[in-house]
This record gives sequence, C-alpha cells and structure tokens, in this order.
Amino acid sequence: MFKNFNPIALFIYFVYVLFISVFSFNPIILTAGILGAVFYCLFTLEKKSVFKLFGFCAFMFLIITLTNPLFSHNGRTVLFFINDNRVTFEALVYGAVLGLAVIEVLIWFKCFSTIFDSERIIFLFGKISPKTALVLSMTLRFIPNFVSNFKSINTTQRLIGSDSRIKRYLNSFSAVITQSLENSVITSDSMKSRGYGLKGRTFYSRFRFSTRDIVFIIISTVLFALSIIGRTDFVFYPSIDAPSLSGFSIIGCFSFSALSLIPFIYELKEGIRWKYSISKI
Amino acid sequence: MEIFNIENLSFKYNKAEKNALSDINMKIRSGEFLLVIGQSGCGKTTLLKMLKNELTPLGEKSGELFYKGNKLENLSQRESASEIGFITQDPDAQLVTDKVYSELAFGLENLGLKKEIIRSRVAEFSSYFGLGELFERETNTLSGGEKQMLNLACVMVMNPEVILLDEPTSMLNPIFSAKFLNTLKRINDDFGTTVIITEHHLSEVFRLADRVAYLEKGFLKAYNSSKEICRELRGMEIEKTLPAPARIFNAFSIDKPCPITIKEGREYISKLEIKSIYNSDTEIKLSKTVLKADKIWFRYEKKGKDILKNCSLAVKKGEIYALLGENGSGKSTLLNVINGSKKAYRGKIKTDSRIGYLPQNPKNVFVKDTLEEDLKLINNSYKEIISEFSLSKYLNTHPYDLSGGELQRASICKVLLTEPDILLLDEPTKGLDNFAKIKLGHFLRNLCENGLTIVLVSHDLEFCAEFSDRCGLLFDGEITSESNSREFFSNNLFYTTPMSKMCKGIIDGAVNVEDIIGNG
Repeated sequence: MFKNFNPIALFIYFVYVLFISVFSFNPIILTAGILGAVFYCLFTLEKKSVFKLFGFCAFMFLIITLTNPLFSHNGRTVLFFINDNRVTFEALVYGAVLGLAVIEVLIWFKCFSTIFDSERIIFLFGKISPKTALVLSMTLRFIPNFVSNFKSINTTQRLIGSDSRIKRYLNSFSAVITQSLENSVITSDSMKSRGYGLKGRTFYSRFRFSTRDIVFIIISTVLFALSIIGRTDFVFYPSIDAPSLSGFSIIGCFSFSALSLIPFIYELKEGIRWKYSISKI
Repeated sequence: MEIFNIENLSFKYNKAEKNALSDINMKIRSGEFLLVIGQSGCGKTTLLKMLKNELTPLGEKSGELFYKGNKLENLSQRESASEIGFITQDPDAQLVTDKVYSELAFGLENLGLKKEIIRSRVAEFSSYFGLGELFERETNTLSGGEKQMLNLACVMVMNPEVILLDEPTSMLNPIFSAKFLNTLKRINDDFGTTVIITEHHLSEVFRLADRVAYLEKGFLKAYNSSKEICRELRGMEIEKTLPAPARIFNAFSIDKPCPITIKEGREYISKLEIKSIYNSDTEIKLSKTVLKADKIWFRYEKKGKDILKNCSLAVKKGEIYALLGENGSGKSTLLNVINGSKKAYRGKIKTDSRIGYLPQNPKNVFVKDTLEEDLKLINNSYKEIISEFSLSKYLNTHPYDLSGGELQRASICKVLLTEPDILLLDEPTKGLDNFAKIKLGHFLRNLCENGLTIVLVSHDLEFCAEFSDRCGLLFDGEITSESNSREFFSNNLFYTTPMSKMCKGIIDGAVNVEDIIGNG
C-alpha cells in the first residue's frame, strides 16, 4: 500500500505536491492535482467519508466561484450589473480557479491525515527529537484517559445527585486533575525504574527505510523539479490569457499530473498484482 | 548465591514516629520465588522499594543492602534499570506510551540500544507473553489484566536479574490474576529470574513460592519455606489469610508436611474424620421483593451485540445479593441499568426504593479536598453516621489519602447520606487486603440488619460465600443459576471457593474454612 512507504518519503512527497498546488494558479495543474487526490481517496477511504468530503468540496467550490465576482469587478466581459457593480466573466472564472485551488489543498490534506496516523507523526518527530516524540506519545495516551475518567466521575456524581450541573462539572474536573496528578507519580516511578533519563536514549519505530523508498523519493523529486521548471501561470485580468503551449509547459503539466497520480497508480498496481496472485491460488 | 543480602536494615520515613522497617536480616537467593506477606502497613512495600535505588523513599536508613555482593547504592543507574524490574499494583498508571509496541520498546530505548536489537527483543517477548494480537493496539483499550501482563513483558524485555512486584494482582479478577501468577512462575522457571512479590490474597500465589517472609509492624517475624512457615504462623492473626488447606492443617494436626494445594488438601482432609460442619444452612429471608428487574434487554450500540438478554432479577428486602460472573458477562452493565444511568431497550426495572450506587473506583465518589467538605455536599447531618463508621478522625483528611478499606467505607458513607434503601456496589473488595475485606463484610451485614438492601457485583468468591445471602451467576447476558450462598457454592464445581473444591465429596456443604474449624 502507498502508505507503507517510509513516513519520511511520504512526507517529502506531500510537501512537493502541496507546494506546487499552493503556488501555481493554473487550472490544468489544479485539475490534475485534484484528480490524483480524488482517485486515491476513492481507492482507500470508506464510501461514506468520500461522499462527505466531496459534498463539502463541491459546496466550497460553489461558494468561492460565486462570491469572487461580487467583490472583484475587474475584467472586460461584463455579464450583468448588480447595484451598479459589474459582474464579469473573468472574475467568475478567476473564482472558479481559486475554488479549485482551495479544494485541491483540502483533498490532499484529507489524504495526508488518513495516511499520517499517530505512529507516523511520532516517527517524524522522533527523527528530529526522541524526547518530543515521547511527549507526544504520552499526550496521546493521556487525553483519552483524562476524558474517560472525567466522564466516569461525572456520572458517579450525577447519580449521587448533590449538585447543580455546572458545580458538578467543576467538581468533577478538579477531581480528575487530582487523580491524574496522583497517577503521574506512579508513572514517573515506572519511567525512572525503567531507566528513563539515562544518556543516549534511542528511538524505536517499526518503519524501515528501503530501496523502494529511495526510488520513490528520486522519482518524486525529478517530477517535482520538472513541474517547477515548466511552471506557467494564467492571466485572468483584464482578459483571460492562456499561455501558449510551449514544450516546457507541456512537460510541466505532464510531470505534475504524473506526480499527483503516483499514489493512485501505486494502489492500482498493487490491486492488480493482488488479484493476479489470488487467481494463481 | 545470594542476589540480595539485607543486613540489619531499619528505615524510618521522614516525619514518621515509628520505624517502617526494623532490623531486617534476609538473604535472598538468586533464582528464588520469594513471597512477602503481612497486613497493610506492615512495611512490605517499603521493603520492596528499598531494593531499588530509584524508588527508595526519603527517610532515615540504617543497615546495609548488598546486591550480588556489592553495596546496592553503588549500583549504576543503567544496571539498576536493566537488572532490577519493578511492578506496582496499578496496571494503568505504570504505562507510559500510547501503543503496546512503543511501551515494550520504552525501557530498551532508555538503555540506548540499537533499533535492530530492540526490534528482535520486542518480537521475542511479545510472542513469549502472547501479546502478538495486542501489538498494534492502543494501551488505553486494554483490560486491566492485559495491561498488567504488558507491564510484566515491559520489564522482561530488559532481561532483568530480579523482578520486584508490589501486589500485582490486587486489581485483577481471579482468572487474570491466576494467569498472571502462572506466567510469573514460568518466567522464574524458564529464565531463573528472581521474583520477589508481595500479595494479600494467598490462595493462588502461596503454592508458587519457594520461600515466604512474614512482616509484622516492620519486623521480620518469620522467613521460611512455604510448607514450614504455615506451622510458624499458627495462632497469629495472619493465619486467617493462608490458603484453605494450610488453615485446616494448622487447626488439626501439624506433624505431617503441610498441604498447600487443593490436591494435597483433599488428600489430607480425607484422612480426617469430619463429617458434620459447624454452620447450619442460613435461612432464606421471606421478606418482600423491593427490586425487580423484569426481562431486561440491553446493548451499547444500535448494531452491537446484546449484553443483557432477557435478564430477570428479584431482590428481597434486607438481603445481600451477590452477582457473579466472568468479565464481560454484563454484571456491571446490569448495575448501571438498575441505577438508571443506562436505559434498557426492552424490559423494566420495578422498584419504589431509592437506589444508591458505588462505582468500582471509590475515589470517583469524592471531589473535594477533605472528607468533611465532600460529605457536606450532600447534607449537614453527617456527624452521626461518620462516627458510626469510625471515620471521624479522618474528616480533615484528603479522601485519596485514606487506605483502601477506609476509602471504601467513606464512599459508602457518602452514598448513605442520600438515604438510599438499596445500595449497589461494584466490586467493593477490589484492592482490599483480607482484614479490610472481613471488616467491610461485617460492616455491610450490619447495614442490612438495619434494613438496607445490598446488591453487589464481585469476583471475590470467598467474600460472597461468607457474607452474601444469595448469589446469582450471570452468563451470556442472563442469570443462569441462583440460590442461597451455601447451596450455590456447594453445587458449583469450578465457580466456587477453594474450600468447597477441596471438600467436595468428602465433607458435603463446607464452603468456608470456618465451617470446619469453627469461628474460634
């Protein structure tokens, strides 16, 4: 699976894609980026969350497309007037492209958050500082514990039924803090007795860095560089001016499309291989 | 060879008046399974903590401690971390990280081992402990028993010479605690790791121990092999906590080797000529039903499985009704349906009485800084009841500073201030030592004689056998058998007290040790 690449490789990949998505204002690039992310989502997410995401994106897209002409009155082609203000075709198109840029970033972030679970994020931090990684890991354990303790204290207090709701919440909150502090003494004893604080703490993770990851990084980097070199922007005001398709810009568009389709293509390849290997069994 | 050599060790906590440990002399052999027993506050935990530098409490210490022939205080932190493991009774608070695998790696990371070594060590020990299926789980989602097993694995990955355990099973149910102790014995046998363990409930652990040390008020009163020590403890108060076979043995004759296991006990008891038992059958009280659960169905999620299925229950006024059953059988859920915090989707709870409820963790009952403030939250008429409970001297104490038994009584006291007719208790004996348990049992009996009705959920079969009127076994969401306690325990084969297992077919109807030796 795509997400089984080493988190560092994945992180680099996401930086590349998001960098280009944010800094290029080219509908072809944006559409390619959206398609790559959407295909990947369709492959990996549950149907329900895909619909939710797409619904939200469509809504955002419409809002941005329709509001831009209301605020920006540049452009030559006037469609109609609202309160003596011009509503232009160019502003409408500009809004649509802006909308595309926003939803592209949204969908890529969705992909990012489904891939980067706590383990991967802790791994990334662990590479920088093992201590931060530990603190993060302890926090991820502490928060759900705290919430569930609070709930059970609060339920108990409700059943005893001595206080108004707000007072009860406050009392339960102070009780859960006291309990957490008490427990933290035991936790720190347990950490000390297992040698926390010794010099030269290492960091263990289940991820390996293999040639597969190196190949992935090289390919992504080449495609990223080509997309930057062939980068072209559209001009919208005063009139829409698509840049002429030179060799460079074709390579740029092509490279970015390829870059953004990597996750999907990878999943597709694995899917086919899986089916093929099953048919052999 | 001795792993620990304790010479004239005395210890006094700062601000304490008396010594917590007085003049202890012990030679602990390498590879030994040593059990340390004694009442709460006898100095067991202090002794254990003295054996690990990082945990040694503040106070005045005299005497010497040697670890493998050298002074313990000279042991480097690194050696101490890897060679001396420590496990306490709270399974949850000892865990540090969010995932099972990262918890297993924690100690090895601290030692600065390479990733590859950690990887193989973690793999080895998670298969030894059968943690493979839990490997990717979040530590929050494990059960208490699984957490404690993980704690043991976390200590074992560091390949220690000795493991110190402070009441490791007191928060676990009997099935998990037997599993835990057997794993511990297996480690002791497989790796020759020295085990030093303190426990209150001795029926399981006693037979595993090579030697037993008995502490009383900080003094080492007895230190001998497990068979010999039973004889030495004869007539002392601690005798009541010994395993059933040893107690019977002490009561009758002490010239043969002392039986420890049920098997040895059966052999011993069949040679005794006892046919009758002291306690006659308790009568079932013919009072009216005050609480009725009528064909309750309950599930947590819409599409989840049913936890309670057609579950019916009738509780009579003034009785103690004990609900037994394994984990996940729905005991606590049934209590929650009765107290109204969970709603049954079919079936009804019928009662005119006020219901008071005590959760598993009695700390959750208290939210203020002193006991008095907390009781005042309910009403101001607490003075009388608190002196009845002999807790008056603790009014200005922080509730969390009370001992297990006191905390349990204080929490009952707070709930009683709301004047309930029925009291629901969720595992009231969890974490209590035997003396506190017996005290709590008599206390509950007293309350019932004054008209209170008690429904309790428990894993503690001996406690239920001694103090409850009726017992019901919950299995697969319904009560599958129910009768008065004596009948219940003498009919069950597995789900019964060690005494009943031992006497089955030899002395009929004996459920508690007192049935044979009397209360004297």
